This record gives sequence, C-alpha cells and structure tokens, in this order.
Amino acid sequence: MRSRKAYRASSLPEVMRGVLRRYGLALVLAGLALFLDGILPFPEGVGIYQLPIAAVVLSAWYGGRGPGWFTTLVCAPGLMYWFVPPVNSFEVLPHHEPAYFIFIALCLLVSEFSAGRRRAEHQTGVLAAIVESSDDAIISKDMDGIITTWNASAERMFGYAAGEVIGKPVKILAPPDRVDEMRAILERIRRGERVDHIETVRRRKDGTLLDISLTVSPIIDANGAVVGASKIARDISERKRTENALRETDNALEMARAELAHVARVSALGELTTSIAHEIAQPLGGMIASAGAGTRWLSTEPPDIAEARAALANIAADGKRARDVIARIRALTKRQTPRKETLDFNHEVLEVLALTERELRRHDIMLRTQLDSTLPHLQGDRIQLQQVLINLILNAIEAMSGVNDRPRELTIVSTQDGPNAVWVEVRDSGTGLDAKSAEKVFEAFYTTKSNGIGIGLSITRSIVEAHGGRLCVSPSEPHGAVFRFSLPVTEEALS
Amino acid sequence: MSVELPAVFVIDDDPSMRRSLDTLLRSVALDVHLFSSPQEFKNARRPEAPGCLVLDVRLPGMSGITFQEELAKAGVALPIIFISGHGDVPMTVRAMKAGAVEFLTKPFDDQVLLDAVFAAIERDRGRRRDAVVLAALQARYRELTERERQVLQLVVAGRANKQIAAELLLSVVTVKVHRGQVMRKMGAKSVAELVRMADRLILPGSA
Repeated sequence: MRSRKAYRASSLPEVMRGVLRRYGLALVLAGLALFLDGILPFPEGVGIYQLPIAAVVLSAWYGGRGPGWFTTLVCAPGLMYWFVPPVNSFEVLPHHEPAYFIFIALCLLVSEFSAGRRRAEHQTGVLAAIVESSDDAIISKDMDGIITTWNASAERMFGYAAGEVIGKPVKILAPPDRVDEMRAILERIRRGERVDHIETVRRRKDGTLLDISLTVSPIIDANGAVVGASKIARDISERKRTENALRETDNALEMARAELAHVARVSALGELTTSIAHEIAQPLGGMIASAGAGTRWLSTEPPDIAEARAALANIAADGKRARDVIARIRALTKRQTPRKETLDFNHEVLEVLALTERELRRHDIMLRTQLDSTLPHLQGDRIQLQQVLINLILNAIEAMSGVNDRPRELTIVSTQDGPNAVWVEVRDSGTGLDAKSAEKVFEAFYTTKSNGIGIGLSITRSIVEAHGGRLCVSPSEPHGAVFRFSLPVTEEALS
Repeated sequence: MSVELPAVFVIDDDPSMRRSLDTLLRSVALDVHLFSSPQEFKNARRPEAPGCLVLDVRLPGMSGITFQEELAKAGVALPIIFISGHGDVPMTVRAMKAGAVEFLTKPFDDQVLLDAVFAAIERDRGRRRDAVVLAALQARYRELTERERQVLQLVVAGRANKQIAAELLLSVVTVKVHRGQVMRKMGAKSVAELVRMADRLILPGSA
C-alpha cells in the first residue's frame, strides 16, 4: 500500500476531492432527473425512464463505472417510489416490472460502456501526453511522406512549430545529400520493415545540421495495411561532439605517447652504442679482410679466380649485413606514428637480439632463447614492440651488472597463451626486486639506476597496454626477476 | 726444422668473420683452422706446426681472457692475437700482461693482421726451436750421475778443481775424471758453453 501511495502523482486530499466531484455530480444528476420527471408532464409509461438514463450516461461518462452505478442506485428506488405505479410505494405492479428491470439493466450496461469509452480516451490522452513530453522528436507521416503529427520535442529539435510542418513533406528535414536515404527508408517502411537506430543527419529550420539517431516503424491499420510511418529521432549531436572531443584527446595522447616512446627509444639505443658500433665494425672488418684476400688471390701466378670471387661474395654479404644493422637502427630512431601490422613476434625477438647480443656478451651474460615456432601472428607496431624487448633486455643487463658470484643468465621465452594470446618472458639472474619496488618499477621517473631517468619500464608497460596486453614482474627462482607480458592475437591477424 | 705450413687457429663465433679470416690467411699460404667456440678448439686435434691463435676477446660463453688463462694452465703455449671491438681497454691491458702478442681493434687493416700473424708464428717457431734444444739438454742432463751433477754445479759456479775436490772430499784426479765425463755427456766444448747450458736448465747455483 505504501509504495502505491508513493507512486501516486496527486496527494490524498486531491484524490478525495476527485471522488467527491465525480460522485457529487452523479448524485446531482440523479436528483435532477427525478426532479424533472416530477415537474415535467411526461406521458404515462416508459417516458419517465428517459431522464434517469441520460443521467446515468452522463455520470458514467464523466466519472466512470462507479458514479454510473451510483446514479442507477439513486434513480432506481426513486422511480420505484414516486413514478412507477403504484405511486408512493416501493412496489411495482406486475405489468410494469419488465420495463423497470430493463431500465436497470440498461443503466448498468450504459455505465459499463461509458466507462470503457472513458478509459480508452484516458489512455489515448496518456499516450498523447507521453508523446508530447518525450525528449525524442516523434513524428508521423503518411505513405506519401507528408507529416501528420509533430510533438513538442520535434519543435524544439528542428525549430518548426507543429502548425508549420503538418501537411508538408518530410523531405524538408533532409539535407540535400540525405534525400536518397529518406527515400530508401520509406521504401523499407512500405515493405513493413522497421529501421532501427540509424545515425544520420537532418536539417533544422535555420539550415543548420543536426546529428540524430533515427528509428522509423510502419504504422499498420486494423486491416494490416501500412498507412504511414512513425519516426523517433534522438538528438545525438552532444554525444557526437563528446565522441569527437574524446577522439581528439585520444589522438593527442597517442601522439604524446609516441613522442615519449621515441625519446626513450633513442636513449635506449644510446646505451647500446658500443654494441651497435661493434655490429657495424664486425662486417667492416670482414670486408677489409676479404678485400685484402681478394687482391692477393688475384696477384698469385696464375691468379686464383675462384678464390677471388668467393672473397668478393664475402664482401657483398658483409656489406648487406652492415646495411641491415643500419636499417634496424634507422627504424628504431625514426619518429613515426604507431601503426598496426601483422607480425611474427619471434622475428622481432631475433631482430632485437641482433642489436643486443653483443651487449649481453660484453657483460658476460649467457643468453638462452626458447621461441615457440608455432606462435600465431599478431597485430602491432613493430618498432614499439621491439622497444619493449630492448627495454626489458637493458633492464636485465643492468640488474645483472653487479652479479659476480653466479652465472649471469638471460632467458627469453615466447609461447602461446591460449588460442588468443602470445606470452613472452624475459628472465634474468640479477639482483631481483623486493615487493615494494616491484610495484614501483612501472612508475614514471622511478629508477634505481644512477644514470637512468626512469621512463623505460613505464613506457614499456604503456606500449604493451596500448597493444591490449599486460606486463607484470615477479621474482625469479632462485635469483633475479622475470618480466612477463601477453599480447592478444586479433581476429585479423589470425586469418 | 719442420717443413709443415704454419698453422693459424681462428676462434670466432661469427661465421662471416671466420670466412673472411679464412680467405685472407689462406691467400698468404697459411694452414687455417676455424673454430666457432673455445670448446671446439679444445676438442680438435691440432697439427704440431708453428702457429698462432686468432681470437675474439668476447667469445660466447667465455671471455677470451679466461680462455687465455685456461690455455696457459693446460700448457698450450700458442701465441695469441686478440681481436676486439672498441671500448675494451682494461681487457687489452690484462691480455697483454698475460702474454698476448697483439691486440687488434675491429675493423682492423688486413696487413696489420697478417703482420701480427707472421710475427706470432715467428715467435712460436723460435719458442719451438728453443723447446727442442732445451729438451735435448734435459735429456743429456738426465744421463749424468749424481756425483757428476754435483761436479757440474760446482764447475758452473766457478770453482777450481782443487776447491771442488775439497768440497766433495774427493781427490783432484777423480774430480778431473768426473769433469771430463760431464763435458763429454753434455756435449760442451768449453766451460763457458757449459755455463750457458746450465743457465737454460736453470740449475741451482748457476746464477
């Protein structure tokens, strides 16, 4: 009971007043009917029933079933006492009985019908009120595309008053490039189909454009024929604006992240300078040696052409190798917006090891790799993913630089993590992390290095997360730390 | 002397570097043996020719210096030429102290490497010759009796026969006989030569 009261729009006294008004009117009408029956010269017979029936009809129409019955309840004994012979007694002569009972039956029937009618009208009124008060523009049109109804929100949204547009073609709402779309919608309505939540553009009265989400349903009459269409339009320009703003913020953020990643990448390469110089010096040394050899092979008597040719082939191979090293570095130092491409992660591991292997050796670190050759391809930015590996490897080197009482080992494992992810582990035998710093290593500007600025691991994590993966660190047994990250394999990459 | 080609042993884990060094060293008529790791080198049977070792200071699994120390312990006396990337100065110092012949920084000049290799081979050849001579001396020394060795020691210490006789409680004649035996067995034509031999044998009292 309580909750029902709570939902009531009007207060209790108001409800009571409504009841009093409906029943009061019923009583007045009943009294009036009986009074008029008394003073007006009605012919004998059924004539006396006309006014009470009218009273019942009116009170039922105004007040519903209850007041209708109430009027009947008042009129029936009144008629019986004053007008139905024998007059001035609560008796009915036998030949007047049918008429009297038919009167009562009629009264009940009329009450019922009037009340039903009233309810229906009330409901229509409620529906109209809903339509009118809706935040969405609700418009109906006939099959010729002529607007037939127009609610308040439509007025607000499009700027036309109802009187201005009802009877006009709905086309006036479409910007020139959307007229065809409107025609297509009407065609679908004609076939009895519904058009659900399409996002489109309409034109206001002042000519400005408006983003809306539109639902159009056919209006079907009692015979099942499509006689028109109702359109519900929601103003989504605010949402669109927010979306655009968000997208711009996202883009700016992405750009900033790429910029920072680039700086970090160049700084990481800086740490690898010695090893990279070696990677170039190695093939250069080979080229010089082969060139010297080639000259000598040609100076022998007779010249050894086959050996000279082989020496030239060596030179070419070394030249290509140096070129590849430079290409790798150039790719890593290039400033570019992140791009997604399908890639084999193992290949990226090998690319990175080509640049860092020497660095590992320089620090007397044993490298082990376990790369799963059945790894599914994934989508990602090649350079940024290489950066993730470089950062983790540099981090491992740093962590092991103080280790002298046990082997320095770096293990890189790639494996499948379920059907939809690739799992990578970078494990070192370094000093490890306590629980406190394990939480902190991914924070920007947190560093344990004397010369680090502490953005490496924070960028590493942000890159992994931007690829839809996650990166975590845990202690490795018996020594060191293990960084693990997973990268999702997208549907496009699978195919 | 051996007529075998001098042998050069190259240990480098980089296949293309091995190929380049191979053709370069073969182009000057050297017998080249290539290995990708110290382990492979240790397991291989090596020709007993004068030669040298060309080695990268950063070998996989072991630093070149550690390997140098291991070889020294195992009595492998091959001269070593180290090849390094730059930035390995402390390592250079250690290697040179441990007896490396040459320390080349990549990318090195081919002629510089060849010069270093020939110098190393020459050094090995000399070492081998010395070793042969020394071995012969040692063999002769082993043939001396205990008494003759005592006499030898006193002779190279510069004692006269009389002093030796007094010290060993022998007659001068007996000392002379022993002394003649020593000179004959050791193949020394003069006392001076005998002193030099004793020097090489590093006998006590020869200093």
